[in-house]
Amino acid sequence: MNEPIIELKRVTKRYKSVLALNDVSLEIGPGITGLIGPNAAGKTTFLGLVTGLLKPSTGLVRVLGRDPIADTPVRGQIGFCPDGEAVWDWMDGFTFVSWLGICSGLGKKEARQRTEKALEELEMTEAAYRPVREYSKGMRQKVKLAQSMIHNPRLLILDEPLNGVDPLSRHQITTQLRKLAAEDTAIIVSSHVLHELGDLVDEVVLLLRGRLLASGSVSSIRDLMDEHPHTVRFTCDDPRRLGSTLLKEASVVSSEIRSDDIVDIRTRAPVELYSRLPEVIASGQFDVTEMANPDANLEAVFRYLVEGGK
Amino acid sequence: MSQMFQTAGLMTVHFFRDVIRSRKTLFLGLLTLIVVGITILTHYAMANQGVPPGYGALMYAGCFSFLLPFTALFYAIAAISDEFETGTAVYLFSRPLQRHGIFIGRWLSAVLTVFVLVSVVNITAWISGGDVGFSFLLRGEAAIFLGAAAYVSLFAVISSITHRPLAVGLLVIFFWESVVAQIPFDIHVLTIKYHAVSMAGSGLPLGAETSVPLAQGMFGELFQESPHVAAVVLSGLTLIFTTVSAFRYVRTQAHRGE
Repeated sequence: MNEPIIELKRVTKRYKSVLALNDVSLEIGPGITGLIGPNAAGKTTFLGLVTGLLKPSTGLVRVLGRDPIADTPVRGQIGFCPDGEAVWDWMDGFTFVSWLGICSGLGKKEARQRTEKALEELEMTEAAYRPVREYSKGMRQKVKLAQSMIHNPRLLILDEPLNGVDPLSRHQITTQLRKLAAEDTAIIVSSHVLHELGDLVDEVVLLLRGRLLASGSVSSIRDLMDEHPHTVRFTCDDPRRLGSTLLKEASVVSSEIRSDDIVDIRTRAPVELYSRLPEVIASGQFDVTEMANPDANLEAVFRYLVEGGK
Repeated sequence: MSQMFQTAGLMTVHFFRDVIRSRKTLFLGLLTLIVVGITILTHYAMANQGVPPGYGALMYAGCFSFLLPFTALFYAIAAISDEFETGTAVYLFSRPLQRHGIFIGRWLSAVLTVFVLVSVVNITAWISGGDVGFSFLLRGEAAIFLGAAAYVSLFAVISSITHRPLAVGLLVIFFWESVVAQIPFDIHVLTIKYHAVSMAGSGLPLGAETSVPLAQGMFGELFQESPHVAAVVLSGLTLIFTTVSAFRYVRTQAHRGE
């Protein structure tokens, strides 16, 4: 690996009695890296440490070779898009992005110009002067993304940027991220579902219960995960019929009825199953209202790694 | 150093733009207007009875006993805790901004906001309070500024060490600053109000023409400290409390991890 963008050496982070991150050592280089783990895996803590928002209990955190807490200027090379809905509701989108640009060291004029460009690239120009409180979740995510990249950071850190975002916004966000990566910005994207990131990421870091579970290329992690059934949970009008229909697919291992409207499908080839789903659902005329990925598959990989002694 | 002041300037502008739209300011602005209204009504009621109310009594009742600590509490919480509560602190703390600068900007903004609001009442009381020299108004303003600084700093400390700054702050205002101030044996020197009132009111012509006996009694007890000593004590308290709260603030972890 070239000079690492992020370097963690034996980092542990505790919140009183809660161990959020446990003895993690890791190097992350350029490109787009997915930070994957179920809820409470330690992803947000990890991102807090590399953005200088949190101090490690023990261990060493370096971003671009420097300490993100003590070294104030290095934070000017980091862009951070936090999870959650928190924004200054009274601001309009344009003010929100340009003001944070000024906070990142840009002059007023430059901040305005870059804000215009960033919002245009995310197709937010029309809504730019509306108060942020009137924005949909997708629009909020887009202005949050715009503020994180306004100062052309070398490292962009995005905490669950695709969580709850509609398909169109998702497409716009991923397109923008690919463009930034092509311009040599290192990007870290967190998600609690590996397959949500699709083909966006080059490398993946898997966290579970505060420990580094695995890291490597997407294909190697997928191979690892595909050795264990991946669960897809459907909420639909006729779970029994959907379960039996999907069982006919070669990629499906088993189905389990969870309740009157929920069925869990297990597959060893999630990519193949996802590609087949639209046709199967349309031909069977199923009314699928929700599709989710329980975290059981990551738990299975964790058990596999621990029990396998790797 | 210049970067710190630049950050402080940015934060000051941001704080004013933030609080001016907040419900807190609407509420405290209304409260200020009510106190102004009561001050004016008191003036007319007393004047009708042929006894002009003293400036000091009006100032004591309107500014120092109520509005000053109350507004200081709300704006100190807004300056120190609100960004963490709402989750917006992550945007500030992940930027290349000096945390001391963020603190100073927000602290100063809170002090200035409190000063402006309470000054409205003070000026009304001065106008309504009879023929009192301009120098007393200026001294009152100085006392309000230093009192605001001391209170905001005290409540900033409370905001930085407890998750319930409002409850603890109200306890300080209604118990410590009010009840303890009345206890004999000079315990009242431990309150901020004592020093602020001493600074503002020392030498004020409050005697026979003042028809508010309660206030007279209080002033008789309280005005035992020279304005200079009071100013030094208030500045010292501000320095101590500000140092403690700044120390806590810059070490606050702005992020709740999983």
